[in-house]
Amino acid sequence: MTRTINHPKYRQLCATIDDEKQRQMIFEVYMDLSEVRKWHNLNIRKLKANRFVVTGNPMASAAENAVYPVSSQDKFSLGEITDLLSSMKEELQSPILILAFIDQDSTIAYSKLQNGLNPPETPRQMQDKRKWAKHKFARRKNKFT
Amino acid sequence: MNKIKIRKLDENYMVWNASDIIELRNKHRIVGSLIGCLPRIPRQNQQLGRPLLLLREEAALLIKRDICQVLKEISEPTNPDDKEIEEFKIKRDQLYHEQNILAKEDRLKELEKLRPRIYEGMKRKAKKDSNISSEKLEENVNEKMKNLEKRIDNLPESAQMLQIPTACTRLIEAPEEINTVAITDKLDETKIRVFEDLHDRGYFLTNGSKFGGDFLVYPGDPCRYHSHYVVICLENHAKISPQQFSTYSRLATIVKKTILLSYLKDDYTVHYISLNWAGIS
Repeated sequence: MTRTINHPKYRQLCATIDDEKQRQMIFEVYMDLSEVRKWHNLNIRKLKANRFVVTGNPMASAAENAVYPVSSQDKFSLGEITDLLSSMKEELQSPILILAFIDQDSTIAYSKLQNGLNPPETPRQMQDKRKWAKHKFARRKNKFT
Repeated sequence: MNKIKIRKLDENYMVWNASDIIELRNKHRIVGSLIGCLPRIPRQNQQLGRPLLLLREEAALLIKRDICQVLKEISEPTNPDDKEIEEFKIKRDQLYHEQNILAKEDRLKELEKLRPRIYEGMKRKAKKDSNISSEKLEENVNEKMKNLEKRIDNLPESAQMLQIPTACTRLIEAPEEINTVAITDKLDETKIRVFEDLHDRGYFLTNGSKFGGDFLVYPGDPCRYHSHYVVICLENHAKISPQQFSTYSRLATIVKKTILLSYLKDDYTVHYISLNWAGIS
């Protein structure tokens, strides 16, 4: 905990986010996305009703995504989630929201949500993704050998 | 226009008429599931026959749209009396008799086809004791054929084709006036409304228990397309834990479908939330 408190990013967050629980969650998601997932252009944005989201691009070329952290101890009804999605849609200008469920041991599970019907990826899109993953893996392998 | 006839047995709604089943699928996009055993291939379940069991939601939709007529048995079928049994036996004997004649005719035709070969064989034999004339040979062949024809047996009774009735003529039925299927709770109602809403959007829906949901949603006929969505119906105020979300999104990824969490809003409109795995483990 002391290490987190002394982290420069955390200190920076102290100035913007008042609620300690929310600050902690935003910090964890931010660190996971930047250090583990290697996302690009990470930002923390304040929305209405004192909500904070982490925005960024999974790949340099990919579109921007917004991640909203919630504690995995909380439970939600579908009505609450719909309200959350529709209120965020206006501010983020994107119908898709990624929810990050944060456990006490800092395990994070991400789920992509959208109001209405969102068809699954086409086989072509999946193929492209697989190609990209292969390419990424090969690059990482070259780096270490 | 004739309405499609649905038979109700307890709370199960079934369609027995083949052309009705085809019409339901082609015209009304109602798939149902065939549950009857095929008499010719009984020990398998890859292909099944009539009756077509409708989902409760399908039945509810058909009843609401006034596409079908629900029939119910008024009285239990009674046992046939002696006269009816006698008639049945006579009919069956007649059927066997007709088949026997046809089978014999077939056998004769086959024999006729063999005639040149029999002739050739006898000619070959005749060459050995060369003093037989061609007329005599012809006579011998005819005699042989007659002998063979006499030896044609009756069709064994076990080989006869039996006509299996697909509808009971003794059943006394009457249309039943019902406005909707029995709805037990809010979740039931949600399912019926969700089914109706997605059906109206032009999708085909089938039972979704194979994928852990309530329905599978197909963009076209299920025999041509993969389903796009797995629908899970929930109550408006039911709380879902994050673990449940993870379960759903993992499932969605592995089956390459979108999970549709659907519920009824307070104003009774249907709302959907699409759920996918974010691709970030």
